[in-house]
Amino acid sequence: MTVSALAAVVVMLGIAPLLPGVAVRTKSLLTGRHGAPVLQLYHDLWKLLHKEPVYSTTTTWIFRAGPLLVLAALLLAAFLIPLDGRAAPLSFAGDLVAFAGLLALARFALVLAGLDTGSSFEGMGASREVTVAAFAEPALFLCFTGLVLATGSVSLSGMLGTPLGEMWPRAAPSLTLVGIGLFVLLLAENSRGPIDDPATHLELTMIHEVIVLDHSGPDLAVILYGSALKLGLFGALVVSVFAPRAGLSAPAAIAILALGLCIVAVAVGIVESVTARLRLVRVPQLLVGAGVFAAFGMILLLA
Amino acid sequence: MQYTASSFGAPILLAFGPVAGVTITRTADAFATHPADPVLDGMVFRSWRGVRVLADRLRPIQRGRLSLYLLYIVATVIALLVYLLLAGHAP
Repeated sequence: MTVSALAAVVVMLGIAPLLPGVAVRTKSLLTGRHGAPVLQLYHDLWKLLHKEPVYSTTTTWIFRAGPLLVLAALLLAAFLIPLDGRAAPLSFAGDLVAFAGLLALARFALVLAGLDTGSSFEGMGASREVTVAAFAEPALFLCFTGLVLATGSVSLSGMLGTPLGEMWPRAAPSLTLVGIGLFVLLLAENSRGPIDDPATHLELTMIHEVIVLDHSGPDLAVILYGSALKLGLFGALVVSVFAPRAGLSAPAAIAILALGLCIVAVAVGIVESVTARLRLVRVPQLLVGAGVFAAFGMILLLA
Repeated sequence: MQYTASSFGAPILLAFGPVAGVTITRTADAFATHPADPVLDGMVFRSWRGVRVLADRLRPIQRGRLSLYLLYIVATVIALLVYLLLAGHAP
């Protein structure tokens, strides 16, 4: 565990709430609106942390534990990615499965908390969330498999750290395809357009936002921060694939990560501005498409 | 709990269509769904029935009569000797 790896995690935790703001700002600029400030989420989190949570009498401890479990799982997942471009603070063979498992655990906690309210509306959101996840997870593993084949390492630190930069000249087409697959997964896993619209509330088409309707105060703050962090983590995967930073000094690597995350957020905003939301039955096709990108990347590596 | 398990599973079953194994009966005044298990009913149980039919056919070999088993041993030894003879090795 190095100082630079820990510093990168701290930077990631700090700038995570910036990313949804950047995406929203891009969207409002492209659609000719003034839009919310880029730092809006920081203000929202500060406001929510000072509010008193309200709990429905029908909920149990599952509802209260949900947000904490979400945050704990995502924080742990942040320690598995080599954010400084070299090695993660926490690394072991097969930690990519642990990474996917932690994301699944976070989703599971959120879905259980949603179902615990007993509201059929939140149940519907939970159902949609797990449906999307059922298609996103195999695609994520296909992307990871592509990286494993490219680098010959079965740990995220190896796949996204030093060996990846050496593989780029030889495996550029495969890595590009895997990167595109990861970006589509970023949109799906974080409930961004064209899969979901994070701006909607109380609309029958939404997925993620509906599960958290009953959370309030600090609980909602934790969930919002968790969503931003998850966007940051997927963004870090995309940035790590497209911009291997092992050859740079640690501060430069971290600065490029922060810049890359902002570019990813801008790209998310652009995608959301130029595409209409997909019908729910079309979402699996998009995710299977992301998996096909990764699979083609793998085939190119094997050829 | 207002939300039912079949509603919870509906989107993913819809995505998988006929492979999901849900039969929907829809008439003018009634709607019913019956989930079947394609893996268990379609593959596991079906292949198990095949194994059972095959095992029933082979059952006469195993009757528990000592003279029959001695005959098997003699037949096996003869078969092995013939094999060695054809393969060109002295026993």
